[in-house]
Amino acid sequence: MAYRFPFAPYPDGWYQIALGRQVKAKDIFSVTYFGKDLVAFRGENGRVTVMDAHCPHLGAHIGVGGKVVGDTVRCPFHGWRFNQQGVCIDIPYCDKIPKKAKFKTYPCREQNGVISIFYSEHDNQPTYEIPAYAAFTDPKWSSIIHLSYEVQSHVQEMAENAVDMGHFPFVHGYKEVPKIKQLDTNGPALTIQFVGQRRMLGITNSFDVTLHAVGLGLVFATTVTDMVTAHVIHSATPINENLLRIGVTFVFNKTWNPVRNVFLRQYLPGEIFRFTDGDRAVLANKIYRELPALCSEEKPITTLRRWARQFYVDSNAQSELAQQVA
Amino acid sequence: MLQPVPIGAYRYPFTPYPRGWYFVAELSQLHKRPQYQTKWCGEIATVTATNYGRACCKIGQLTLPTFVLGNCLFAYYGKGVPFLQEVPAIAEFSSSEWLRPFHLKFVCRTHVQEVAENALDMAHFSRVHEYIGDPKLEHFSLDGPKFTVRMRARRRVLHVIDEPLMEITYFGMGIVQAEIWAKTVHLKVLLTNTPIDEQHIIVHQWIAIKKKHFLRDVVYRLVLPHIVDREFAHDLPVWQHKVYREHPAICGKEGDIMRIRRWAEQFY
Repeated sequence: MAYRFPFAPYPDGWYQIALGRQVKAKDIFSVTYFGKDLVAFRGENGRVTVMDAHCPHLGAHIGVGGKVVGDTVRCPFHGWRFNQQGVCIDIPYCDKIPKKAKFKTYPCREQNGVISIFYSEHDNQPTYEIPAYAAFTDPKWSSIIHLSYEVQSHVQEMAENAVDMGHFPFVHGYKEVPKIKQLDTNGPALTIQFVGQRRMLGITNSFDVTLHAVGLGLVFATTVTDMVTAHVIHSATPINENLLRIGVTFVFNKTWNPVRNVFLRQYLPGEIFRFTDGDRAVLANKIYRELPALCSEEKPITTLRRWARQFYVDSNAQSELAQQVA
Repeated sequence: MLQPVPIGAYRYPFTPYPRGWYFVAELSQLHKRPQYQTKWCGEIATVTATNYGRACCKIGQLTLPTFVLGNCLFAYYGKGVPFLQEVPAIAEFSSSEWLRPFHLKFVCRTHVQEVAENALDMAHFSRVHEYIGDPKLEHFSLDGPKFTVRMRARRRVLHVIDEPLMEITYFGMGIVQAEIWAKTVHLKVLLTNTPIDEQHIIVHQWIAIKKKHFLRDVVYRLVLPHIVDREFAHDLPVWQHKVYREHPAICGKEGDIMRIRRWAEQFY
């Protein structure tokens, strides 16, 4: 499949790569994102490290037979041990450690029950953090529910989709185009609040949705309906140039009624899956219009595109250029 | 239990089919089926039995140079004049003092060069296999398309600690002969590595055991295939998932791996 977008496939940003519970103590968790094999391991200190999967020595995959030893990881091939900075600290049969014996590690955060890494093709370092939401650890809210699926698209398309109010009635069953109450950008954050109506369980529900995008990979949503309030982390992480893994990780408010709580726990994942179903076919088959014929009500799409440009910048090259000019 | 490996992108900075002699068929198979086709170096090779117990090998209309070693037919892959291949016959395979060789085979997602490099990678024996400490390399010599390694390695076999001497000779990347002298057993091995397609190779092994005592011979004949299988089962997950580092971060004791890489360049 030919690449369809006029921008790089992996813009800088924080991306969800696993749930915290998936990376168990003393375990190595293997994933493929950004066209690379990656591993995550949790040291004895509880801290998660995410790094490239293949050993800098002779290329063995650490996730296939490797072991977590204390706060280090041991390669299954020759027993070299690497610390949480990816640096080799022990070769069992050699005293001198080669300088090149180092894994590429990624800035990593475990927040809201989710493990995210900062990915940059230009090796830019993160200049912003992921917000923490108390609801994900508060027992007054449900335990974390997670579902994920793959879609052939680009992270920027997913972000544009969230501010594209016009598609909600046709793709997601809203009664009419939702009304935007707020649209702000602030550095790497973009906030949009909109209200609308949609049928759920045969009843028309009012939806008051606040989306807080932090970069292009993570969107924190608070959805208040007549029936339920939910905090949702929508994540979009590129598996490769053409494919995204979409994660929906959420908690909802519990009430005194256990029947309602159990029912919603069963019902909501399916409802969310149905909600996103329409998007998948459109996103997989559309092309990206650099100069789209937008109507006046579609300003948020232009705002988002302007905001998104910052995630494609090579900051290192920029600062070098600034030094040269100075 | 090995998990199926998803086929990913090609992982090597060189062709999957270095030139050389590769196994195509056992002549005894041709008695049952005078003509058969097999996947070989990314092509379909047709092997046909000819008179006098010989066989020829073709890819399409192209007849390949062949030679016979014992029961095995090898064909040459690559352009130009085939390099000289003086592979000694293994007399032990037909000797009455040895048990008839048993045959093992497996398919693996790797490259023939990886298998060759593995022979000189002393440090992996104690980590991947069940060796006690790193083997002592007693001899390593390169001679045109051939290289020989002799090593002594401590290991436990059937609960007995032994320190067998192993001599391994590669004839190109496709043919390997090995001899193992242990306290309790003497083995002669023919191993062939053949690229099937871009991603996979097939490894055949014929292993003969020197006769000693009837009961002991029966036990070894029953147990040894499992031990050998287990040996490779340790290598397979590493080979199937690793990448090839052109500039690996090797330490001082691992220079022989780079010598093997330089030796291998002649086949590309």
